[in-house]
Amino acid sequence: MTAHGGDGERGVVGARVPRLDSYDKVTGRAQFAGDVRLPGMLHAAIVKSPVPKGRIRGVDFSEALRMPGVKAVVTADELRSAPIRCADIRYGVVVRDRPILAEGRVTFQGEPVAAVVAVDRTTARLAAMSVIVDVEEEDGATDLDSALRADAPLVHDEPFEVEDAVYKSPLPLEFGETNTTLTFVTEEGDVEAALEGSAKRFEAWYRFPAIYQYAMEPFCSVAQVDRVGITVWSSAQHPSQVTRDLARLFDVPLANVRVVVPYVGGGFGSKSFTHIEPLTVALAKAVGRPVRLELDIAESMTMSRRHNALARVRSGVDEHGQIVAFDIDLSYDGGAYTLLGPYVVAKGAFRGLGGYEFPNYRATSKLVFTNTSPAGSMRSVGGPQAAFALECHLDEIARDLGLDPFDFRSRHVAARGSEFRRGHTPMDADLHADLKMLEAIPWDRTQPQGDERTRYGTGMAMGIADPGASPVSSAVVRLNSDGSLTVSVGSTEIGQGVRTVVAQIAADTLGVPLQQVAVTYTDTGYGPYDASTGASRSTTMSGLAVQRAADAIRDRVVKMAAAAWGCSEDAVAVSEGVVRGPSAAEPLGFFVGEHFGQRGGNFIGVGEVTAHEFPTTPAFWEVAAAVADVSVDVETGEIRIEAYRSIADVGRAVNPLLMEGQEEGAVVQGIGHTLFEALEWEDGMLMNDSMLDYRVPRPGDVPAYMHGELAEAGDGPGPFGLKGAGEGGVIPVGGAVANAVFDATGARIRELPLTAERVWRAIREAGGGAES
Amino acid sequence: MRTLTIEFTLNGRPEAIEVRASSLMLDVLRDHFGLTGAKRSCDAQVCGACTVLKDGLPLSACTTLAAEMDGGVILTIEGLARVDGELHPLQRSFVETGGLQCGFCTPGFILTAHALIEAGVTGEKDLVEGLDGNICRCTGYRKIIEAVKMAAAETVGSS
Repeated sequence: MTAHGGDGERGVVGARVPRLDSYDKVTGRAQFAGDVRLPGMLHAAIVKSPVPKGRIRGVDFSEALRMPGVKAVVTADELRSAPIRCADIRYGVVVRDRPILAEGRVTFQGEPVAAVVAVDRTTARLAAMSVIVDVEEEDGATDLDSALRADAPLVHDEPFEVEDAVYKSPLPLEFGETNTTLTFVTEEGDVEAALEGSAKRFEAWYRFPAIYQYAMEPFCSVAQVDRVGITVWSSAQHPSQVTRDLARLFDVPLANVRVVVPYVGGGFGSKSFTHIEPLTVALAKAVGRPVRLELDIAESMTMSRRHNALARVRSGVDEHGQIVAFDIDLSYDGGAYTLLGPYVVAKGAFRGLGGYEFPNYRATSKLVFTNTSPAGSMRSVGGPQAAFALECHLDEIARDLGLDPFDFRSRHVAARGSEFRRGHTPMDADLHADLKMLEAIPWDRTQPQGDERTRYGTGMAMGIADPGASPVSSAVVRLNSDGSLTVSVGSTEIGQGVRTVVAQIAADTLGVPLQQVAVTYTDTGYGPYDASTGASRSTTMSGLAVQRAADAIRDRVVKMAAAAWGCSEDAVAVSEGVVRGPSAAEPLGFFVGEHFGQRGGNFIGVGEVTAHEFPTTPAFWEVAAAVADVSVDVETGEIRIEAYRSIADVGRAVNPLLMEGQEEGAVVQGIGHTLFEALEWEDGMLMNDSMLDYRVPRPGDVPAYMHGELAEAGDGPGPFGLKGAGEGGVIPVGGAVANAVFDATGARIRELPLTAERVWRAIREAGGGAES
Repeated sequence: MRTLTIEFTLNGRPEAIEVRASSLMLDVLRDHFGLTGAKRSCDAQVCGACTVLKDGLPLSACTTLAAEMDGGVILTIEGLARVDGELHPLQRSFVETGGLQCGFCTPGFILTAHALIEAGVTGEKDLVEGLDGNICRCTGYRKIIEAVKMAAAETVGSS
C-alpha cells in the first residue's frame, strides 16, 4: 500500500493509510503524559474520603510528615493562601461545583480530601495511606432510586455558580430543593390525549448500569509553575478547557497557561474536561518544584463514569400499528458533581426519541445527584441508556403486533430533509437507505443441530445521536520552503487518528504527498484553539479548519503564480506538490522563497470554524444500526454473540482503515455494557474498584462474525461531505442483543448487563428453559 | 532500606544495577532505564499493558519484583525492532492492519504475541486464547487478531 494514491478520485482522502503514529506506537517511543519527566520533579498521591457523605472533622497528616522523603501535605485549608493562592477552588464545565480538594464535607467515597508530595510515587502513596480523614458520617442518597424519593437526604444543599464560558448554558438548573438538578423536556403534540385515544397502549421500565470508561492510561498530569506562568502536561481530551479553568482558578491570563497533551492513552469521554490538573498545579505551587500526579485505576474510576439510568416508556399505536403517542421519562444518576450532566440528559432526551417521527411525543430527562462518584462523558453521552429503552420498547410493540422489526422502524423513521425535531437541524441522512444497507449484509447462518440447551435468536436496533458538540475550531497549516507542510490543530490524539486524518486532508487539499506532512503535538501555548475532542467532532470540525487553512495557502500560491506568469488564476493548478501554469511549473515551496526574497520562510494558512456557521444543532446527525445474532445456553443463561452486523452513516470516510477501527471498537465497548460491565455500589461504597472485579471485553469476547458497512453518501457538513463518527456504534448494541435474547428465549430482559444469572432468572420467569 | 545487586541481559545488553528489595520491575524499567514502552494500568496482572518477556515468556512487570530480573534475559518493546530501525514482522503487521489506536496497550500485545509465535502457536483459536491476558479498550480486537495471524503466518512461511 502506498501512502499517497488513495482511491484515485480524491487523492489521499479515502485511502486506507496506516496511522502516522504507528511506528512510534509499535516501538514504545510514543510519549504519554505519564512518560514525561522533568528535572527536580516530585510525585504526588491523593488522600480519599473513606465514606460517601459527611462533615470533615479533621485531617491528621502528622505521621505522613514524619516519613522520610515526604515534602508536603496539602488540604483545602491551604488552597487559598500563599503560596498556592487559588482565586476559587471550585470548577466544572457547566456548574462550578467540584472542589480541588473537599472542603468541609465529603460527597462520595473516594473524593480527594488531601494530597501528599514526596520524592517518589511509592513514598507519596504510602504516606497518603497514613493520613487519617476524620469524618462525621451522614445519611446519603447513595443510589438513584433513593435519591429520587421525596424524603431523600440532599447531596448538596447550597447553590453553585453556573459556568457559561463554553456552552452559554440556557438549561434551567435548580439546586438545593431536591436531588434533581435539571428536568429537560422536549415534546410535540399532546401525548396524553394521543395515548388516551390510541388503539393499544404499552408501558415498561428499563434500567442501564453505571459504566467505567477504562481508558487504559490512568489520569496523569505534570505541572510546572514559574514566573512566566503555568505549564501542565496532561492526559486531557480538551486542553483548551483545562487552560481556561486553570487561568480562572489561579487568576492568571490565558496567555500564561500552557497545557501540553502528548499521546493520550484512550479517553472515551473520561478525560473530557478538567480533572486533576488544578490539584497538580496547586501542589507544584506548594512545593515550588514540578509535581507529577498519576492516579491508579481505582482512583481513575472515581473521576468520571457513564451515568446509570432508569427509563419509563409509554406508547400508543393506532389500528394500523402506527405509533401515535410516545412518552419516555429518563432519570440519569449524575453522582456527586455535575460535570457534563445537564448536556448528557438533554442529549439523552433526543437519543431516547431516535430518528423516528411520532405525531405526539414527549421526552423528559432528569439529572439526579447521588452520593456516588461523579458521572461525566462517555462515548455518545446519554445515548446507549436512552436507546436501550427505546429500541427494546419498539421491539416489544413490533413483536406484540406481529410486525417485522425492520419494516416497523422503516415506517417511523424521519425522511431526509424532515425537521423531525422542531427548531433543530433536519435529518441529513437517508435512514431508509441505511436500514436497507443493514438488511442486505449477508451472514451464513449455520443452524446447529439437536442441542437441547442452545437457543438462537436475532435482534436489531438503531441509534441516532446529535453530536458535534461545540463547532469552534481553528487550524494552522504551514507551507515550508521545501514544499512540506506542518499542520497544527487543537484536537488531541486519543487514538481516534485525528493527526492522521488532518494530515490526509491537508495533503489532499494541496496535492502534497502524505510523507511530507507533519502534525504537531497539541499545545495550547503554541497551537490553535479547539473547543474539545469528543462528540464525534474532530474530523468534521478540525478537518474543516485544516481544509480552510490549506485552501488559504493554495489561494496565496495561485495568486502569486498567476501574477508571475501573467496568466489567469483559473489557469494555475496545484497537484503532486507542483504549481503548474500554461507555460511554466514550479514546486510549491518555490513561491515561499520568492515571497521572502531568500531561501527560508514559510506561508502560514489559518482556518477557522465558528458557531455562526451552525445556526441549528446538531451539526450533523450520527446514525448507526445493527443486527445481533445470539445463542443462549438456557441451562446457564450464558449468551454468545455469534454475529454482529452493523452500519454507520459517516458521509465519507477519510480513512476507511481508521474508520472501521472506530466502529469495531465502539461495538465491542457496547458488548461490554451489554454483557458484563457495571459499577456496583453498596451503601455508596464502590464494590468492584479494580480490573479484577470490573470485567471488560477481552479478545475471546469478540463475535465470531462481525461485519460493518459504511454509508458514504457525502451528505455531511465536513470536508468532502463527511460527518463525524466513532460514537454511533456503541448505541444500538444493548437493544440489538436484548431483542435477540427475547427472540431466542421468549424472555424480555429490560435491564443491562445481560449477565448469565440475570438471563437464567429471566428465562425461568418466562417459563422457558430446557426440560429438567 | 535493603538493597541488592542484580545482573541480567536487557534488550541484548548486559546490565548490573542496585535495586531496593521492594522495587517493582516496572518502576526499574521505566524510571532507571527510561524504557517507558511498558505501561502502568491495572496494577493487578489483568490488562497486560506492562508485559515484558523474561527468558522468552511474558510477565506483568507491574506485579513482579525487580529482584526477579536477576540472571534473566529481558526483552522490552524497545528491543524488538532491529538496531537499524527496521520493524519486527509483528510490529509491521500491527501497523498494516491498523491493530492499534491509542497505542497504550500495543507494546504488551506485541510482546505477548511474540512469545506465542516463538512458542509455535499459529491457530487463530489458540492465538486468541493466548492473548486473553491483554486488554485493548480501543480497537475491538479484530485488527489486533488479524495482525497477529498475519505475523504468525509469515513466521511459519519463512521457517
